[in-house]
Amino acid sequence: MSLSTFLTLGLSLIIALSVPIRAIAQDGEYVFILAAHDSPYWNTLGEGVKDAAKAKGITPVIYEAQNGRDTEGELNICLTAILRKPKIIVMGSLNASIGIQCFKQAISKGIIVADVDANLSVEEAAKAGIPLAFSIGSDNYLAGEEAANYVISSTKNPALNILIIEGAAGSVPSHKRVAGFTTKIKQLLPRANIVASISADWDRLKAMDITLDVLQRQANLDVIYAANDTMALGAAEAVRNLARTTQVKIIGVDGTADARKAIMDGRLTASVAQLPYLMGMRSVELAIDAVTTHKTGVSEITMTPVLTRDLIETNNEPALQYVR
Amino acid sequence: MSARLFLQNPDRLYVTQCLLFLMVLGVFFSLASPHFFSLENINNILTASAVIGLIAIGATFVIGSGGIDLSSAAVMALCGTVCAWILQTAGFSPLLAFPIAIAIGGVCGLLTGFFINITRAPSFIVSLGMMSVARAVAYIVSDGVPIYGLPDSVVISNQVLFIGLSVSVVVLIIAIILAWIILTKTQLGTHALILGDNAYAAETMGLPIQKLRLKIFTLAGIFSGMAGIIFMMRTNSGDPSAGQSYELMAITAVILGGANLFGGRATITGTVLGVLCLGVLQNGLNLLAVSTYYQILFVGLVLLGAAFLSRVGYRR
Repeated sequence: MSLSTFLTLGLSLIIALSVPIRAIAQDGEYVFILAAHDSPYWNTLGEGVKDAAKAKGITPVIYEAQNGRDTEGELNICLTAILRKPKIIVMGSLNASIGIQCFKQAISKGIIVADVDANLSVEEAAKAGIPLAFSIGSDNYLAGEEAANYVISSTKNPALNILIIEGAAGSVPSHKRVAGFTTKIKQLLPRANIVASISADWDRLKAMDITLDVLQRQANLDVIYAANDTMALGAAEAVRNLARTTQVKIIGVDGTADARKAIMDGRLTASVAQLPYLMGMRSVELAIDAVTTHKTGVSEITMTPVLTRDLIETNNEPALQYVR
Repeated sequence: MSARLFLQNPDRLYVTQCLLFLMVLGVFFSLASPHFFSLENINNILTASAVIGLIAIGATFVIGSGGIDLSSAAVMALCGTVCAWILQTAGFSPLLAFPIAIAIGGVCGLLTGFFINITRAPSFIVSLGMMSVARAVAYIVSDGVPIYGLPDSVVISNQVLFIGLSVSVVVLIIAIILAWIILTKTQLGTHALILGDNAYAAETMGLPIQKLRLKIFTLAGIFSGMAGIIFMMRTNSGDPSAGQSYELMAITAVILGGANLFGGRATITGTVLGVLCLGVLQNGLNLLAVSTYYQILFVGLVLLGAAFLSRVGYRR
């Protein structure tokens, strides 16, 4: 046997034997498929699932897709999960098509299917012949509208100069968050000027650079709306570097821990919270209910409160208990 | 022929290594999960490997000729998006839309080859440019949003099974056979490997290097176009952001299969085994619900291992 062939066998065995098997659970389990492992949003949702599952005494199997763009990868995970013959698959599908493609095969095996994050609605699923047990999530379009409402209610200037920082091009949540914001602003503040609407790929540094560039040519910028908190924090750094913190209001989406700290520090003005922890918790409760009662067609939209310094300090908003 | 003599050929040595690795993975996952070794899961693995497999087959020709094509996944996304747009918005028949999408892939490859010829710049620079152009056109065509809801005829045809295999797998098998014939039985394949082995010698021999490069990149583009259609059919959408970093997965599979990154050595058999190694690894880890962080780690270790073994083989 040659050295390299020997090494092949050796390396193969090392890899094979060192695989940490997290869960070889028995058939009849609860499967949750989360859309991205590298996102604070999905990590928090996963924490909600784990905490609720522990409280309810079930052991869920949680899969995480590689990133928020790998639709085919998520489909592959879902098709593999079907082979485990779980009682229910709850999937945060990256888009409705992926959910439908996989769920058609799942229901043919008698597996209950459900959606978390509201990318596949009960109605859409029904049109494709899929009896979705439930769909729970926030409405990204509504989150954009909430941000716009906050901007409108907190100013007396009808001719605001607004910079919009979008997420990755092609991202459906980003598209909805920006569309909700833009539509509402144009509707209620027709004299407002959207100076630019640029994608920063969900990236903090790109958002910072975009903000610096825009502030060079638009010194009288009033508002920055970013489609997530990571980008809003990048924009906040740029504004702080130019000492314009008091002049420019910055609003993000998600309500992450970093964003809340920045709000308390006065670097960020507000963040529209998505409450992924609540979604995770409720998805477990609804999953257990679906398995027990075989009820279908439940639709739940979670709250999207606008977190501000006042709201966090007074702590009288019930939704705050789910903010992680 | 003795085993030692058989393995003295580097192509056979690397293919044998890859096959051994695949077998070890197969045995391990069969023991670890009762669901792994089933017809349904084998079909799953092959189906999941189809898109990367088609891109990797195209990459085999490019790498064999001493080039790198970083635009393959973006071209795939462009072809899938345009195809979905033609089907949904223009209402074309799939019989017309599919060849158009494949032709677009071919044209992208042709343009990449053309710009390499006229600029004499390294292929990875030119293909990086093509990657941005293809991705941007896909975003422009779709207005940045995936095109959902393909005609029923396309969705249903994707669910049909041929002797237990999905359409994606059947297309992959046909592509493998075609690519194997082109690489081993035609002048194009032989000349591509000669070009990759020694471009100066190929020129001295009087090979039409520029035409050859055009043909190689066009061929790779055609395979990317096919991958785009399969991706679109599987996900029922034309997604302009589809296949991010698939080009690197494809290159990994080709190198894992024993190809020389600097050209001159590449086999379709090796590439197919490389694709299957990655597919089996991903599928097995998914079946065992191994954390994504470890999955990324293992794919990285496999690549490092392949690089190490390639070095050992090179010294022989």
